[in-house]
Amino acid sequence: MHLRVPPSGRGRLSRPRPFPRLAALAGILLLLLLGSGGCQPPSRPDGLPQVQLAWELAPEPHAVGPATLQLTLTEAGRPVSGAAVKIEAGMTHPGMRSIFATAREGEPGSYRANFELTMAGDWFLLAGFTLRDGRRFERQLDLPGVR
Amino acid sequence: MDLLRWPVLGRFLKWRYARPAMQLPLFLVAVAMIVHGLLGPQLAPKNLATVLTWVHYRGILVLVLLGAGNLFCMACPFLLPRELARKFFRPRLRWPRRLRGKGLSIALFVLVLFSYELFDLWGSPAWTAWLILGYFTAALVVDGLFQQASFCKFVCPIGQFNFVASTLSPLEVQVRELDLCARCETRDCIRGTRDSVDLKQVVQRGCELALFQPKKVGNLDCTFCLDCIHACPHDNVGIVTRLPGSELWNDARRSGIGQPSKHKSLAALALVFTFGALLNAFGMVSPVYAVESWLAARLGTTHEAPVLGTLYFLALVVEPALLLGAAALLSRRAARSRETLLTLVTRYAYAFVPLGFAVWLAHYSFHLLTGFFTFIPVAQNAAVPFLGSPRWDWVGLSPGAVWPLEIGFLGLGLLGSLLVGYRIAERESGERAVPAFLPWAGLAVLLAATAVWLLLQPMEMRGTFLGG
Repeated sequence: MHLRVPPSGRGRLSRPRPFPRLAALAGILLLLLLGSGGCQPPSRPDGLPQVQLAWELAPEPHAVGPATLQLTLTEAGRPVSGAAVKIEAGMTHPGMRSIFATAREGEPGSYRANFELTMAGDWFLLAGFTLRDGRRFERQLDLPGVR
Repeated sequence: MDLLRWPVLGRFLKWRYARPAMQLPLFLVAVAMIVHGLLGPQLAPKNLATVLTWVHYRGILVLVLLGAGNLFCMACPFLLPRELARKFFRPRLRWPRRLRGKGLSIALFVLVLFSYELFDLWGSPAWTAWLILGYFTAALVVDGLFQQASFCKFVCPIGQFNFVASTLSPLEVQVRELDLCARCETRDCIRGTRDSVDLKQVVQRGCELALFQPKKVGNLDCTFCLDCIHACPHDNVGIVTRLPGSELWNDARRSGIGQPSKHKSLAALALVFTFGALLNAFGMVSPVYAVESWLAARLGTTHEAPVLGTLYFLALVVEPALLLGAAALLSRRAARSRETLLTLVTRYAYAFVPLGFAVWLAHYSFHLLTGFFTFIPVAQNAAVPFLGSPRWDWVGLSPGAVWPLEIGFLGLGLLGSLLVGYRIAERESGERAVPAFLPWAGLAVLLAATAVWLLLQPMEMRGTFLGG
C-alpha cells in the first residue's frame, strides 16, 4: 500500500511548475476524455494523514559533494521507529545517474543517510518508507540550484 | 554504392509502403510518449516523453545523420496523420510566396531552442508531450491547408536541422545516369506518375519539395521520402554514397534551392545551426548562470524571459555579425576583392556547418551514451508488471568515457570546416585563396576552441537561472 503524507519540515518540498493554465486545462480535458469510461474518485489510503515527515539536508545551502539527509518521522506526535528508509537522489534532467542510499535510524524516529551530490543543478530526492506495520509511502523532496 | 541495390534493404526501400512501414513504429512510440508525458509521473527521468525525447531521440538522430543520412525525415511519424488526412481532403492553397525562404523555419528553430531553455522542457514531461502533440497538429494543419510538403520545406524546425546536418551525411538520393534523364519525357520524379487512362490522376506522386532529380545537388531540402524513387519509370534514382560535406562548397545552381552562395536565408540557417549549437551547449554549463545573473543585474529584472532573450540576441545575432563581419573584412582585404561583406559572409557561411554539426554531435551523443539504458527502467515502470521491477541503476557510460569521443567529433568538425572553407576560398579567390581563407580559418579555430572550453566546464542542469 502506498500512502502520501502531507509535507512538513524545513526544506523546500516543491516548487511551482512553469505550466500554463490553458495547457493544464487541455490536459485535464484529455484526461477526462480518456478516462470517461471508468473514472473513479480517488480512494482514501489507510493511515493518511497521521505520519508526519520533517527533513533537513546538510550542508545548507546545498552544494556539490557529500551530503547528509536527516529525516524525522512522527505519528500523532510520537516518533515512528523501525521504518526501512530508502533514498534515491537524482537530477531533474533525464538520463543522469541517480544515487541510492539507505537511511539508518539513530534516535527513535530519526533517520540519517549519507550520499554525494555529484553535479551542480536541480536535484530531487525520493524517500521511500516502509513502516514496521507494513504501511508504505514515498515522498519527493526538491533540491533546486545545487551549486 | 547504392543502397537500393542491396539484396533485402533495397527491395524493402523500393516497396511502395516502405515509408509508412517505418513511420508506424515511430508513430506508436510518439503516442506512448504523449500519453506517458501527460498521464505518467512528472519527474523527467522517470517519464518516457522526456527520456526518449531529450536523451535518445536527439542522440540517435545526430549519429544516424553522421553515419547514414536524413533517415528521421524518411520515417517521420508527424506526417503519418497528414498522409491519412490527405486521402480524404485535398489541400487547395499554395504556400505564400513571401514565406518561401528559410526565414520562418529559422525563427521557429530559434523559438524551439529558446523555449527549451525558458520552460526547461528537458525537465517537464507534460510540456514535452505538448510539444510532440503540437508538432503533429502543426504538420496536419499546414499540410491540410497547403499543397505539396509545405510543412517539411518551409516550417519544420527539426527538418531544417536535418537538412543542414545531412550535408555531412554519406548518403544521398541521386540520379544514377543523367543521360537517361535527358531522354525522359514524362518527368515523373517531379510531376508524379499518371494513370495510363485518366492522365489527371496521379497514382504515385513525385517530389513534394520541388527537387527535380536531374538538377538536384546534395541533401538540402531532401526528406528521403522515396517518392522520386517510386515514381521514376526507369528505375534511375538511387540512394548512393558520396563524399560527406562536398555539397557545401559546390555552388552549382540546384533544383528547389538555387545557388547557395546567393541564398541569404539558407546561409543564415547554416549560421544559426552553428552558433545555436554553441549556445545550446552553453546552456548546460555553470558559467551560463553567471552570465545570466550579470545580464539580469544590467537589465534590472528578475524575469528569465528578457534575460534569455538578450542572451539569444547576443549569441545568435550580435556575436555572429561581429565575428563573421571581421573575418569577411580581413578576407576581402587579403583577396583584394570588391564584394560586399554580406556577400562574402553568405558564401563562407557553409564552411562552419561541419563544426556546428560536431558541437551538436558532441553534446547530444554525450546525453545518449551516458544515459543510454535509462529508457529500460522507465519503460519497466510504465508497463509494470509486464517488464519486471525497474532497474533505476541502469544508466550508461561514464562521462569520462565519452569525453574522447566528444573531442574527436570536434576535431573532425574543425578539420571539415577548414576543408570546406579552403575549397570555397579556392572557388571564390583563385590564386589568392590562401590569404582569403586564413581569416575564416582563424574564426573556425576560435569557435572550435570555444567548444572545447565549453566541454571542459562543469555541467550544471538548473531550471532556475537566479538560483531559485
